[in-house]
Amino acid sequence: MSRPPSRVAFAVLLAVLVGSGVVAVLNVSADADATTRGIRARELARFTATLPEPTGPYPVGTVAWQIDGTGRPDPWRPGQDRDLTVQLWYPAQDRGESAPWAHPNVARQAARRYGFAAESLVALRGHATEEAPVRRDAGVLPVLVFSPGDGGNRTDNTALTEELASHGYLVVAVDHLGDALEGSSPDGQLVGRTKPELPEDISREELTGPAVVAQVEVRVADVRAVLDALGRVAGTGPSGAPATAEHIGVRGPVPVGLAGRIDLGRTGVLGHSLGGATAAGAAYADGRVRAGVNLDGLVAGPVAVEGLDRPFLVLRQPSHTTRIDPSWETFLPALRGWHRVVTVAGSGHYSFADLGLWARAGGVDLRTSEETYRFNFGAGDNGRATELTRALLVGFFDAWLRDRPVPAVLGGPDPQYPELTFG
Amino acid sequence: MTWVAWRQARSAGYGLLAVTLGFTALALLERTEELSGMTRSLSIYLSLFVGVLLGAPLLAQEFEHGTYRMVWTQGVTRVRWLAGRCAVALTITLAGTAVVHGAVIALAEGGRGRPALLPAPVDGLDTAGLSPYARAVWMLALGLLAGAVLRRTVGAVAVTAGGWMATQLLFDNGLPRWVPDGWQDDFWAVQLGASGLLLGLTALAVVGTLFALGLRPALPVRRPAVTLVRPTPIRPD
Amino acid sequence: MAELPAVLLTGVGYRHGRTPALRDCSLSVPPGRVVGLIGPNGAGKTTLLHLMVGLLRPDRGEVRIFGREPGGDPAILDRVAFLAQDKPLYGSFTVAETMRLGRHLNSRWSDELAAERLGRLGIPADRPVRRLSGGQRSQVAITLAMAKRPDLMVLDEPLADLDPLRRHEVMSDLMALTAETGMTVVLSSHVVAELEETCDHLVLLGDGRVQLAGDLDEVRAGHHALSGPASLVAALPDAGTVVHATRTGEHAGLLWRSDRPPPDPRWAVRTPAIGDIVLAYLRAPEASALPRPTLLRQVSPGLRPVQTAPTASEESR
Repeated sequence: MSRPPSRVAFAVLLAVLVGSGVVAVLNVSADADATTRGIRARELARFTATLPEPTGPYPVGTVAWQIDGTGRPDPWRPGQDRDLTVQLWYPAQDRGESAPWAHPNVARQAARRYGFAAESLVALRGHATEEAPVRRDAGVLPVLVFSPGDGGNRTDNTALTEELASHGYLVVAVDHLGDALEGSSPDGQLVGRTKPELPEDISREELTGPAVVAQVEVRVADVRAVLDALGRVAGTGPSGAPATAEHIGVRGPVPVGLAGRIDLGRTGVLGHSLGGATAAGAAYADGRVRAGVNLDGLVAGPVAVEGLDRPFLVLRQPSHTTRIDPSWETFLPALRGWHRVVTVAGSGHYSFADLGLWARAGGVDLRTSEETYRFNFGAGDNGRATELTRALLVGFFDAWLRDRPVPAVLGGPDPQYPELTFG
Repeated sequence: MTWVAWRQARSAGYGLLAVTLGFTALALLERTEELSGMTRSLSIYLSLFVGVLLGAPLLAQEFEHGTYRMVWTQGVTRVRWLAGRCAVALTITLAGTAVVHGAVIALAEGGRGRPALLPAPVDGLDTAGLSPYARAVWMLALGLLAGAVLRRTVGAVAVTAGGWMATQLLFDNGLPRWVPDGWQDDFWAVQLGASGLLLGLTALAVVGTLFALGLRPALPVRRPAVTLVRPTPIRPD
Repeated sequence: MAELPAVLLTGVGYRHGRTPALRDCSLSVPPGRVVGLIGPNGAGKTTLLHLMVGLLRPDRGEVRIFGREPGGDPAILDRVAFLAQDKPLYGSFTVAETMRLGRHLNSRWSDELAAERLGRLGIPADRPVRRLSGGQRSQVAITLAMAKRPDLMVLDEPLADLDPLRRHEVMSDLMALTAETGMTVVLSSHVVAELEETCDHLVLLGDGRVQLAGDLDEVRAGHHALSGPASLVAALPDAGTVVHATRTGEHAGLLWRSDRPPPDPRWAVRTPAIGDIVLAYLRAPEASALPRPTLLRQVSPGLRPVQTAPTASEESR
């Protein structure tokens, strides 16, 4: 008479014990995995970073300049003028020894930030020859100003900038000094990031708030200062005499054949992330800009509401939607010129920067959750995403700066490019 | 016995459930407020609650209220009674630890795409892996021992809390120094070493408890000069 | 084979730390007796009862309950019920849960007995024990002991916090159960009066020693209240022992232990009440019915000594 109730209690006890045991085993083995992952993640990733070969008809040359910011106070470095460093890529006459991806100072610090062994990036070379003479048969060069993402450096998107140069563009990427994490002078002296940090857990509303707008305004002014400086270089005549600061406020060697070939009448801007916002802002603020591209970036300032009447291309990763980015809610409908919003399936936010090509080999996936990794780096190795981005950029600027027909890749859904969706 | 043991552990069980719910609240807060790692780092206190709520009063209250005289004269031996009570307490302990470490911390750390990474085996020793379970069991056993020896709940709670602090000191300062070279990055070696140490202490505490309750492990008994042991049912039914 | 004694103590000694609580106690209680354990406060009654139910182990000597060592033996645990002096119960348990505990922990448990008794006493089953009155609590504890249907029930001052009516109820319930099951009862008290009408066996404990033990009739028969001239005291036969004497002028009143009254007709002899015997022993803590040296004149073993442990040779006989 006494036993049945106790048997129930015993069965419950046993069930709880077994259940706890199962949870404990799963928990401990998950902790073991996470600890092992942690050990591996804290080790610096040793791998050989590479960049894809440019596909255009021309070899590529490159050079870095300092642009003096005389008369323009630097908001991020009080008491100083806003100097900038730019990196130029252009069609070169011949191919020589490839220049390093970045100065060792930059490469080392960036590698540490990404958790890579320093050699991985210090040893990396692009496909451009330093100070190579400009390709003689490339005609006058349309100008593209590239603005990297928040904290980004001028060579962070070399896979794209070299590609555009190999197709005959003069690409000028900007170190927004004080904003770039490894900003540097042309000779590799690092300039720290002094810009006030946006809060890490910035709210959706704050994304379009005054802090972001102010930062984009500085970047837009940087782009315009670069265009001004290019104009001064363009005016030095075809002799190719080295420019001096006294004359035009630009320090750095001017490649043979560049002067007189800079066609500011065909200017485009493009940028990644916060640089995308910069591109849109520059297109809005500066009449010299005839076309622009935003690579997966938000939009800030008046352009976000008023839009643009010029050709504009937006590339996005699948999860960059108006749900997470309110600026697109007003900006996209306000685009009145020719425009496309192209989604690249399988891409992540950094698929539009060089880092995306190295994330998996560099073990970034070890340090992040799958969800975060996907958001940032997409599903694959980003080789295909880079290929598509290159084709889209070249096609877009060819159409709107060189009057070529809009290519198939930009025309709309095409079985050749199943990863791309439009809308 | 199981029912009785559960009925006696019920309020402590509810207390531990409340603690678990507290950790769940922390976890939800951590998810929404970006207080990264808060739940995991506070999880070290779970074993304190186990010792103080479940372990220390288990025997101390029996002595304090004199109820041991009632329960030890029922038809179940002291050893079986203790085994039943320990089994239930151990189940509650393991269930609470499994819920906090297997579910609540996962809930806290599952959001916001936080990396599923843990610190090096030695640094994560007190918040990850097997050792939180071993530690909870050890605190339970220490509570039992303190209750059996001191026979006062307040004293047993104080000793258990002191033992918890000593254990924390062991985790923070002792164990990391004792880890042999080559074990630093070996999760299982560090975990099994620490858990083994704690379970060894647990075994000592259990033996001490048995001694304190007068339940010496059966030693060879002197046969009495006169043996009257001849079971004859007084009232055969 | 002879029936095993319900309780058998041989040469039991026990110390609380360094204080001796019991010294060389020997005792044998045949089954079926209702034993009154009498003694002043601090005499060691509780210690003796705890030894019987196995809550304590003797430092010396042996305790046997139905021939077995109590405490660790489930066969004995099931047959022995104990009610401690403060009637400990789990305060958070309801009355019904307390009974459920009894049912779970005792194989001979009787739900009927528990339900009948609690129902008769009107104790609400769903009330937590801590919210019962002191008397109700005692009744619940006694019910817990009774429903176990033990062969030996050991009660430490069971009546202490009951009113006279409840005392009577408890005792009559105990007697009824004894009559029905033949169980042995050992109950302690420091009040002699309440035991006299119910007990048939007496154990008198003074200062850690058993002063007197035996069936009530034997105890009565072995003691004589003498009254007469004081000059006669010295001439009393050697076959008896003066337990206690009072002297008023030339007149002496004695409690005399002997299996026969004194032959001298000048003594007025009366059969003493149990209460008087107990009182006499309590007043003379060194007096003992056991064969041991005392301050009193002792000529020969007087009263039949309590049965000590049978020796091996006795058993084999």
